[in-house]
Amino acid sequence: MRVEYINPFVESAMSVLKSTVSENVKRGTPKLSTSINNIQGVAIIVGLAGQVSGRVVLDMSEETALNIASSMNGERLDSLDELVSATLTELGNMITGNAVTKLHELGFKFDLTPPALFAGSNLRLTDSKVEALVVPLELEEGSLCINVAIKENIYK
Amino acid sequence: MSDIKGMDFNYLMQNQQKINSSLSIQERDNKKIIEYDSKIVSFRIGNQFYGIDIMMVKEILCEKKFTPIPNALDFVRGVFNLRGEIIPIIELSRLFHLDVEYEVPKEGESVIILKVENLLIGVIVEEIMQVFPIQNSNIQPPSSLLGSINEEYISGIIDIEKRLYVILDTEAIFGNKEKAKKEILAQESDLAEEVFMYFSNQVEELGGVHIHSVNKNKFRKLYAAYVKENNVKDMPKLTKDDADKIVKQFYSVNTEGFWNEKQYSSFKNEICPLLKKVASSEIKGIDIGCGNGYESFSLYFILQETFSNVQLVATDSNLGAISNASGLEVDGNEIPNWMGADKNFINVNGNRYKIKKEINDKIYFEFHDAKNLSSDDRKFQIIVARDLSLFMKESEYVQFIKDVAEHLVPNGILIVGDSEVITSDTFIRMEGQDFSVLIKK
Amino acid sequence: MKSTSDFPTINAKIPDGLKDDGSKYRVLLVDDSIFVKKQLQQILLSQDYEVVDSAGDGEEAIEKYKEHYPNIDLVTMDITMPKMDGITALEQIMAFDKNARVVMISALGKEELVKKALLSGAKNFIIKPLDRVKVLERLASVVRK
Repeated sequence: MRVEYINPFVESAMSVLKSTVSENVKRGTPKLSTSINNIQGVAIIVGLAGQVSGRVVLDMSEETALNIASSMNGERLDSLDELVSATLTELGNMITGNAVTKLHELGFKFDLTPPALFAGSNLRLTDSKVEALVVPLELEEGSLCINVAIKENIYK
Repeated sequence: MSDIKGMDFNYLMQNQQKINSSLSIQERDNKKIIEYDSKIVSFRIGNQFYGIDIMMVKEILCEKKFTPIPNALDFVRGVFNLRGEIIPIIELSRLFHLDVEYEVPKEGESVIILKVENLLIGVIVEEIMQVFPIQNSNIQPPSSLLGSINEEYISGIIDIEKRLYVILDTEAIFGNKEKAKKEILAQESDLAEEVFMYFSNQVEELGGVHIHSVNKNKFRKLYAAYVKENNVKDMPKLTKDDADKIVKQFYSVNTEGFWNEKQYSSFKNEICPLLKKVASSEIKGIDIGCGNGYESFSLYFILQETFSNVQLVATDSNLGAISNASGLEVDGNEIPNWMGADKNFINVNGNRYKIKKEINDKIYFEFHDAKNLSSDDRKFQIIVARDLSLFMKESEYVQFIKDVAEHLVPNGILIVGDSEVITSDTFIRMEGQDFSVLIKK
Repeated sequence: MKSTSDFPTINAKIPDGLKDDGSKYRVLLVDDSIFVKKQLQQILLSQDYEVVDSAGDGEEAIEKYKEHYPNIDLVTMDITMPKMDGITALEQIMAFDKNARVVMISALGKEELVKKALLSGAKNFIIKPLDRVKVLERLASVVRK
């Protein structure tokens, strides 16, 4: 993945989480992985289009998902209902949207597709044809991973 | 050379002169000139005297410390580091079961370093005597009466000044045809290997690299140089700095700098013609493991002289390095003439120059792990992947080379590190001046 | 901040959501996320705006606008939505009522998108995540014009 893409996603994730979930967000070291990941329980996926194709996945446990949704709504939410789902997909939307906005400022033409949420105890995201950037993030609500895989469309 | 103590050549020479002069008196008496065929180095073990053809002797030393080797055969005393070369040291009395006990002199034991078929072997004897000139016609066939040494290891017996010397056939003992060789020389290479392994394990651990068949040869050389430079006599003990220094020496020329004029012309004259066969005006390339980017820009500037549309991807799994590579800034004196500092760089302040943005934008710098190359579906005419074997296990590297082949067009070019040896049926190796070039079949 | 209703301050600020005549500004919320709808609703109600209705996509937004017309003072419009995107819905609402006051609210703040929305008649553009103070400030500036 192009180095120019990394910071917008990392910074966007940090700032959106800080302003919507909790002030205290810690970032782990970015890693690379071929994107066969064991989803921890809840995955929010936002597609990327335009001069690239790719996707952003926010991956967290159900407990973390509920904690985050609760913080964002200002009330305790205890099941993965429509509101929780809407909250989390909006989180994915905001993180990706802000990153794409920053990338536009840098001259990269990206679009995004509406987010989707997947939940399950044994989810696998199998997409071995792409290498993903994985950034672990630590919040009071729990830990999550932002997993970004981007491929150039114009360079084939 | 400080290893050579005790028994020195002056002493040997004096003895030799004495003997020569005594022989010359004999000669005068006999009124005829004796022509000698060869010389022997004589030595003593217990009360028996022996001789070895001087042509087989590389040097003689007096040494106290040998590095013991666990699980070695009983006659192998250990190894000795002779200016970088690991030499097995054999106790002759034990090899021949001579049943002799003698006291080890304080100044050290006498060792004769023999050269047998390009291999060095040290033999410990009790006392080194003299060098004698001999006539082959005076050598008598070995007699089984002579004791415990097997006849087949003996060239013959010679009588010098009323003393019998058993002349050993070192080739028979240590040479090709004998079982002894299998026992000892196999052991020897194991020993040398073991000491080298001890060294290379430390380089791997402290230097954070992998050493395997692709890059081992160079590390052997670096090892020999290290031993020589540091006068290492025992098992080598490395510091992190030592390991880093050794790894740095492995790297291809100008890994952390732009390619020089020589590399530039070598690339232009040897590699560009090959690339013209597989690319017209447009060329696609990838520089895997580009580090701080010097290599990528060197490659880019050379390619764009020949091809009007250069599409170059540069990758590294070190996020810090790859982030610096994009928008590289250097000192003016780092820029070689051929690269054109004025044309391609902008002076930012003082002597600092930055690659022009429009050039920087032409190269896609990607955070990428070479081990995940298969996840990429792009095809290239040229792949530069110098010294990547350091960062992969052998199996990973083998897979990597397969992946590289997948990403190259037929007759595409792979450039590996200066000291990397790739054995693959998919590639033909071309002898380049400044680059290790492989052509995909 | 909880309002201290027991001790009404003399120079208490009039809530943003109230017109000069004391009636409430009426708002149509358009967003496919019930989270955002809920969030916006909380922000708006805190300043006495009235949320007349909400829509989850562009098509529904046009229907609802026409249905409530002329009793709508403000529309908050998401951009990335199923069926019909917010920019298209904005254009159609403006075609129907050139005086419509539509504020775009999106996580995407790409310059060309913002320009396009403003050229199409949007009165303002708010980028998510929503900051309560900023949202109220922007909406107030639109309704009070």
